[in-house]
Amino acid sequence: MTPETEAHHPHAGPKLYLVILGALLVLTAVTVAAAGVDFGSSSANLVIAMIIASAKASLVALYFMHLRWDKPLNATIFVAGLCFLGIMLTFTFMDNTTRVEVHTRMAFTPAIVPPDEGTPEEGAAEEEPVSAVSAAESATIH
Amino acid sequence: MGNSTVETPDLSLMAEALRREPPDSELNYLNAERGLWSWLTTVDHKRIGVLYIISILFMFFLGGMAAIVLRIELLTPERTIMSADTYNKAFTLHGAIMTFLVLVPSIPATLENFVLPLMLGAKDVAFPRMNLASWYCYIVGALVMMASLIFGGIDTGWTLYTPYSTETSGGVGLVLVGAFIVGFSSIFTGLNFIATIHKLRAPGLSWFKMPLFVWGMYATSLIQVLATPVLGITLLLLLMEKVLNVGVFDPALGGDPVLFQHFFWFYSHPVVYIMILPAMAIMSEVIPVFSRKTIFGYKAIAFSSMAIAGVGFIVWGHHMFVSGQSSLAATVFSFITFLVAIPSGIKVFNWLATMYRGSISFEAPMLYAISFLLLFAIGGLTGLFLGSLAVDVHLHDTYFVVAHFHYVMMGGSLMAFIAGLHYWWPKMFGRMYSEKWAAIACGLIFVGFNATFLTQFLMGARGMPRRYYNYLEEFQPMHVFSTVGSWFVLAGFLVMLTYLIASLRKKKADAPGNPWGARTLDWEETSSPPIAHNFHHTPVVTHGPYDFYPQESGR
Amino acid sequence: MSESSATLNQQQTQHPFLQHHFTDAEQQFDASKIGMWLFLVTELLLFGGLFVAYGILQSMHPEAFVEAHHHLDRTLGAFNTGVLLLSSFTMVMAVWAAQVSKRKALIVNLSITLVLAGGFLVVKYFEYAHKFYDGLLPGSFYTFEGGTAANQHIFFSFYFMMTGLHGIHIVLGMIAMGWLLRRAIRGDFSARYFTPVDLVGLYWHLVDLIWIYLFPLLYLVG
Repeated sequence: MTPETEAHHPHAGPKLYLVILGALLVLTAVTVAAAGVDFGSSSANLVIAMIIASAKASLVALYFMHLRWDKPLNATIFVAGLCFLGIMLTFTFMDNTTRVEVHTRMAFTPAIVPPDEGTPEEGAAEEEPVSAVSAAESATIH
Repeated sequence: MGNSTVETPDLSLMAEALRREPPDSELNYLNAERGLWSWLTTVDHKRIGVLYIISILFMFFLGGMAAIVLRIELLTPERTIMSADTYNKAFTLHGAIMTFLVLVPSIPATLENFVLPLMLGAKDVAFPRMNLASWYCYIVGALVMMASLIFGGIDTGWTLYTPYSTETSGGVGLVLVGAFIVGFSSIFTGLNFIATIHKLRAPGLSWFKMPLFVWGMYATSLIQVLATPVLGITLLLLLMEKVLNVGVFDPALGGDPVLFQHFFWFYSHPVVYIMILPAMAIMSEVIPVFSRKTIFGYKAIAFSSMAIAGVGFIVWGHHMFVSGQSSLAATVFSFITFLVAIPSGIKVFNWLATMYRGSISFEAPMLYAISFLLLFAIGGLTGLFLGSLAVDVHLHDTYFVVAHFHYVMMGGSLMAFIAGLHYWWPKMFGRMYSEKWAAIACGLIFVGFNATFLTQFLMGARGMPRRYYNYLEEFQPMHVFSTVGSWFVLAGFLVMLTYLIASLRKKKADAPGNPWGARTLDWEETSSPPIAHNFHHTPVVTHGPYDFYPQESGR
Repeated sequence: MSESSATLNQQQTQHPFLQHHFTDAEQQFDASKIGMWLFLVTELLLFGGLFVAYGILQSMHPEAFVEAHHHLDRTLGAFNTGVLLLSSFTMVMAVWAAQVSKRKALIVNLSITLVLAGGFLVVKYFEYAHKFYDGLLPGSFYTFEGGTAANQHIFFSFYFMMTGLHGIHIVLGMIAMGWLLRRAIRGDFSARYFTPVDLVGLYWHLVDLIWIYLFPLLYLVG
């Protein structure tokens, strides 16, 4: 479809866009309301919030950004970007959430203690490089 | 497309003429406009390619001299010519220049910029002004990075690992900002080429009739667009960590230093595929032409390019086997690393099959292509050693790693770039160079390269750590051998510079339109050098890119 | 007027702004759209990196993030979300107006979008000022006394980095819209040629998309 023909018969007009805007505003209200409800675990709240956000995002992408009526290549490009972002997220989380604290098996205090009040000075002061094992640990990490 | 049916060659008169005679003195892109300003404001993809060639070769020599100098330091186990601090800065400078400012832009910004529209039958790339903007981003970014030298340079290694990179002062900030700007250069290039390949192909040029060079560059461009922004955010986060102590990578502030490595390598592993895919793309052009035989396994090579681009995104953790990753993550990354070797292997076998029973000639491009095959095979295979989890624990951060990546990046990517430069040199400048001196340079580089880096595999396997200023006495003979090898490499490049400049200084353009007898649009339908708008009429594609004329000997 | 220049003028009016290396306006339009979507993907991955870092750090310090996010004003955040959604609506209306050659509607909608964008920034200014006052600042500038969980400063590091980068993109969008407005007033856009409006619109929608995820992540769940 040439830009000229697209222009003479645009796929969507003010009415449709207004409906989509309404849906977006309603979903915003829903997500704010849902945030006040306790769904059990904190991750449940996060998942629900992300689902609602994705619904809103889909409306914006499909209708406001015209993906619904565009050539499929544009949507493919966008979805591909999302997939690779997903890869980055998944694999990084796979690492960070499956690490086993080596020193807990050894049952002594870790070398670095998280600071109490969130100020760097205290954290640094509480550093205690103690045993051969933690020294070996830091030797392999470089 | 490309099979052995014996038929009368279908030559247009123009193609025939281009094969035999040098061009008349018509205006071409080089002399169509004159003056420095016309070059600095050009939107002609060919001129932008030439601007990039000059800039990148300059940076290559800068980075190369850093390497020469640091290898001189390593002649003795103690101090030779510089302090330990200076040594650290030398290898950092070498790495940063060679990765960000040379290898990443090398083939895409120079050869692809020049050749792609010609190969597609287009008058320019999709977004010519963005193309020029890309070059300016490169120049400005490079200047900002080099400005860090005024502040004493950086000694963090090009990998910028935390916590050292966040704690040290000096020029780190400038390098971060400069690299961020250079990143835009890469993104603009990739973006431009994807749009060009999708929309600006000549009539008759379907996806599977395109030269394989285009497939390789398409895959490269995809990586450029997807991976470079992650480098961007990594550099920004590092900057925020330095300026605001945000606490993302600092354990004392609740952060995770290994997270930096995840971010860094999510870009920096695909970036090595940005370096090698174009090299492979060039191989797919040079090898058929100089074997006068159609490529073996066109679709396999095309799909392998895409596979390498895709799978290359999910192996980055193999740089972090000893960094404190979880065992699960390490195992997964190791397994996938083995998978990513498969499409590369397919390509190498297909190129060899192309050469088999071909009519091989040994002009300069082919000499470098054969060097590529040997050196890339070694580099690629040693990558499997490093991808094996248990073996890597011993080899990580040793000279084995250094040798591996020099074999693939220099023996692979750089050799291919030089092959491409020699292949398209007559097209770009209308002049032939001395084949004799080209062969001598190739010999010097090949011998020197292996002397320098084969030794380093042995050193690394015996425990010589990388980036070390002092080392044990027992490693000295190998270090000396390696350093002397680097001098042969330098000699080879100096010879190359000399004969290439000599070819440019020839008064008369002596290159025919198609000296190698290739069958792609860039050779058959354009003069050498091409006119400013590339084609007199839009070409129509009627045959495959590797449909060479059957030989008299009958096959 | 000679015949050749008449033909030239005819070509000009039929295909304004057609560049020499494209065969026709449709090819140029399609290529421009592809280019814009590719650029949007780079923005997605740029912000996406921040989202990944946020996710990792949040999983490392869940209590800190939950506690810290209560300092954010949900009402203001929801209001700003509404403002941005409305601006997306007016932006797509501007594109529509250009498509049907309604110059006045185009100018009006672009102007409203600009005003709404400015309004978003004004609200953010007030939010930031409040944080500065309370000492709820990133990293080493965090001076807020109170709260039980450790490392709450990390949340505010992300708050400022993510909304800051987003804010920079809003400013850049406003500059692009200003440029569009100038060209719209000059009469550059019509059913024959509205590509820049379309492309800036796509960019603006992406800015909105990012906020659609930022709002719940920062303001609602922590």
